[in-house]
Amino acid sequence: MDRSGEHEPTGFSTIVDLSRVTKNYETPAGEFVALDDLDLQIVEGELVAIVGKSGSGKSTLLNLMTAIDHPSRGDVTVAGTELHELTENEAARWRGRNVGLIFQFFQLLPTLTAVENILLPMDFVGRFSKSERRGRALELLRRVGIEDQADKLPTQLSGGQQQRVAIARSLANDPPLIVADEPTGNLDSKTSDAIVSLFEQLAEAGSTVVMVTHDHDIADRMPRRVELADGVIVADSMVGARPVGN
Amino acid sequence: MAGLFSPLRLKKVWADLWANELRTLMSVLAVTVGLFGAGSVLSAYAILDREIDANYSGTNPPSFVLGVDDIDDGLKPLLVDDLNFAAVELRRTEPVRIETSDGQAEAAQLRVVEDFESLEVATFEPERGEWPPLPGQLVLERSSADLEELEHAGPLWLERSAGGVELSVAGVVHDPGRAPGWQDDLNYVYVSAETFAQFVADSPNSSVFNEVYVVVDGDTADIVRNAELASTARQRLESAGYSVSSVAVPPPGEHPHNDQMTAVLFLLQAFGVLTLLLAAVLVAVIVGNIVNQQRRQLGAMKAIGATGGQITGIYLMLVLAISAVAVLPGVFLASAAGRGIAGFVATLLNFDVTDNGIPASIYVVQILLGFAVPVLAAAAPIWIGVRMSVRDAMDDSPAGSAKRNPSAHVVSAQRVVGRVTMLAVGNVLRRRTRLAATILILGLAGATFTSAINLTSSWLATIDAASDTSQFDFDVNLSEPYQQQRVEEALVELSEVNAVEGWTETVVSEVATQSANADELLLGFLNGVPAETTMVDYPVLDGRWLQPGDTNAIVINHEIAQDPHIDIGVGDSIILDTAGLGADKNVEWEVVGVVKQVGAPRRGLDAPFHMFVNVDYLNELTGNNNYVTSMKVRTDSPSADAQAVLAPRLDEALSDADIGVSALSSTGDRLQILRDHVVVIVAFLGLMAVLAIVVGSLALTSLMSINVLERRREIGMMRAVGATGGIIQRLVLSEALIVGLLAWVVTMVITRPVSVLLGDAAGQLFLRSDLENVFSWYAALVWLVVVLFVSLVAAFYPARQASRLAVNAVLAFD
Repeated sequence: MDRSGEHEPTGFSTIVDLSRVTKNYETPAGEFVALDDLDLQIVEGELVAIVGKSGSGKSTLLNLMTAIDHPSRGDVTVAGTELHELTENEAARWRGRNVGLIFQFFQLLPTLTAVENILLPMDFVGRFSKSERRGRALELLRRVGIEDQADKLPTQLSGGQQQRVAIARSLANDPPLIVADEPTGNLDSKTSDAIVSLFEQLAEAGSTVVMVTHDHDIADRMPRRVELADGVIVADSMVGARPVGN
Repeated sequence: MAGLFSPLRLKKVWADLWANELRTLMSVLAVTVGLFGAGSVLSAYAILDREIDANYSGTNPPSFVLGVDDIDDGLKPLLVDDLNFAAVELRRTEPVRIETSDGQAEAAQLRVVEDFESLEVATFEPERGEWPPLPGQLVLERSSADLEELEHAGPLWLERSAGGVELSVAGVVHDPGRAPGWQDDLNYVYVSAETFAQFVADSPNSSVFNEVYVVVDGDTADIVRNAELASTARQRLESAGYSVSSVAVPPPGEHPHNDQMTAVLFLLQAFGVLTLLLAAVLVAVIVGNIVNQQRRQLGAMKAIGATGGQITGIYLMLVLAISAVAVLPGVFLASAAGRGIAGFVATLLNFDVTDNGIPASIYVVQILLGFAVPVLAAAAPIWIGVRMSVRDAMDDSPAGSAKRNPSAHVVSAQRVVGRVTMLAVGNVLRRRTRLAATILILGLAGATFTSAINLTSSWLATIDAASDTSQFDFDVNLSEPYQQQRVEEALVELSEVNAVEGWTETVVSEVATQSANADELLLGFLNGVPAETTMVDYPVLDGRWLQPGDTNAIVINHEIAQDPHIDIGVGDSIILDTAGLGADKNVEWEVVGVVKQVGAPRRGLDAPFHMFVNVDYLNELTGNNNYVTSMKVRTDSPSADAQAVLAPRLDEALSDADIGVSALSSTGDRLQILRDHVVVIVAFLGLMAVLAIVVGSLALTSLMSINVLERRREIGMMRAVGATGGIIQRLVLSEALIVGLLAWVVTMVITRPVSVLLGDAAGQLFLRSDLENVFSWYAALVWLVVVLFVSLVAAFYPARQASRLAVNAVLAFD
């Protein structure tokens, strides 16, 4: 894939805006700087891969843009909300409406079926009416290609199927931002390929997708690639044209 | 805004409950057992509170009792017509001795009643046999110490100070207003005035009755008014020429053994609350485990938009579901046990439970407890879980994993005690909060268990110590004052008798003065004792013992000093009516000492109040020099068997010398009765210990199951690198044994204060004295065996589960 140099902001609306963000952690060995004076903007409809070695600050970056963690310094604004001002409960409510989270180990609730796992965010947030929810959940399962697995428990599904359920769950409340942390890290290459295709489809449909990955092959498929090392962005590159936004 | 509860979240709760049936079952059992412990006592208390009132109040207890020496037909109209009292009834109460036809002699209290068919005050009911007893017949109270023997012994010989008569037993009555006779080795006998007349046939002008039982008109529950009216009655009688020797104003509506019941229920309540607390701790541990085990789920839920309130709601629903299942069996079992306890305590107090219905309010309280306590217990672990950040919740590092590498000490220790054992130690110490809760529960269970044994040892040591303070084997009460030398000569004829000492004893009452209220007057035994007595050596609690040359010095026993209704101590003056000894009517004494007299005989009085004065001075007052009313006899064969053989021979020796005996009691018998009291206490403690051990076992099973569940991957790894099922099983069992050992250590730390607390409560309850505290190493050893056995049993299932885990399934588990 041909890369066309460093990324430059365009005229699209910014959905993720990290400005001079620093994150420090206290460790027994002293203060550890996970992110150091970092600036990052992501516009609506982008499909972004964040890459870097272990300890480079990828997960911290994801935690900050999903209000799971607060910066030590700097501002984080996502979907128009200044996240550093949110309390834990406000952050949870905000996340439920604005972010779809996908994890490496899926994190499905083991005692709920696939469709119930998708219903759960809707139940927490209350965005859709009760009568709408099940139909929407089944539609999302159909979208990720496993509508026939709706009533199975996670343990009855393969890893790929579980990740598809997790992706469907992330879309439950129709959030403007999808954040995936190593979504293929626990899957074989064929299944990984299918999952990445799903993300591409989501981006084509207008969602903003930010994905942390170790896998350079997958990162190379992403239109934008942000590389972190020691808490700073060492490379931010785009392939081809800016995707069409909303 | 989405609500706190929804069908989907309920579905999750339901599924979580069924995802680990053993853990759910343990939670339900913990709440059930806790509720059983607290609910049974609550139920018992509700029944007893109502029934004691119904039984005792139903007897129309007297508002006050006057002791009058010369009652005649003119007395009642004075009180009924002039003072308008609601009910006035004449009685006579005095100690007698019962002899069966085969020579068995027992102490008894005789009560003469006016008319069995129209009892108005302090009434009692026929239970079996003929009613009313005819002239020449008596009835026995059902709680009498020797009821079985006396009821079917045929004609009984009743010996009182002024002679005896032969009477037949008509039947048995129930008098709920009296303390059970079996507790004091006493028999209660009731006869009519006509029957009593047979005793005094030689002196027909002597009065039959010596007590006036009065129920006041209007409010009977006002003790101050009752005391005022008693004083009015006394003045009225004295102005009419009667001699009022005593006034007693009992606390209205309060059974004579009300304090005992309160104390027993306090002990039970303490254990009930303890069981509930233990169960609450266990619920907290289990819920803490569920929250911890689901921390990633918790993080995931927060990540997808769940608020703290919504997550709290999910876990609260889980706890409420556990409570909902546990409450029904808990309340049902508690009700059954409560009825059992009420029946048992009723027996202690000599009353019947006629209605064992439990008030609806008690059920409501139990249900509220069943829901509220688990919710409160679970609040902390839920709060901790809910406050956990998403980042921490999703952290992959195993919770509570060892933070330090094994030190050189640990490595060398491994060589000594074996790798599996050291691994077990490390595993046990991983989750310290959970471990602490478990060993605390088991430790408290052990403290209850060992306390029961320690209490038994302390009780027996106290009785032995009491035995050491009395160096006589027989207490012979004479039917009237006899010349001391004559009695001594009769007794020392027996070769087994090696020392005798004459005392002068009589029942005396305190005289009301400005500083002594009518409702707090002391009624007890005045013992004229040689100041240098060799028969008793009571520990002096305050002041001093009698000294030669003492005149108006008096020593009281601890029963008097500690009675809440009597306010007398060293330095106080007390005026006693000693007319019964022939002394001047009122004599003022100064209290010089308080002695501990454990197991003092009650001899028909409401309380074992004994006072000691210099017999020489008492004889001066009475003019009865060298006359005695009681002899303390020391023999060279103090064993119980020897005393049983010697007692009739002593009686015979005195009878041959024409000396009347009103009571002959062996010190051994009296102390044995006290020793037997401990059975009741130990039965209570035993029940509570079993409950506590059940909760402790549940806690340990829970801990071991949780530990195994959390370490499935680790166990899988061990299996993968060659550990056999046997090694895994041994590892889990070793962990349980270590927890058991730690719990034993906790027990050893807390058992002493718990034992002392319980011992003092039991001592005050039955002896009005703290116990001689004994710490039993036997108890410690027995508990060690029990706790290790319980540990193995509790860990058996989790160990078996762990040993059967398949490597592939375990390593795939997330």
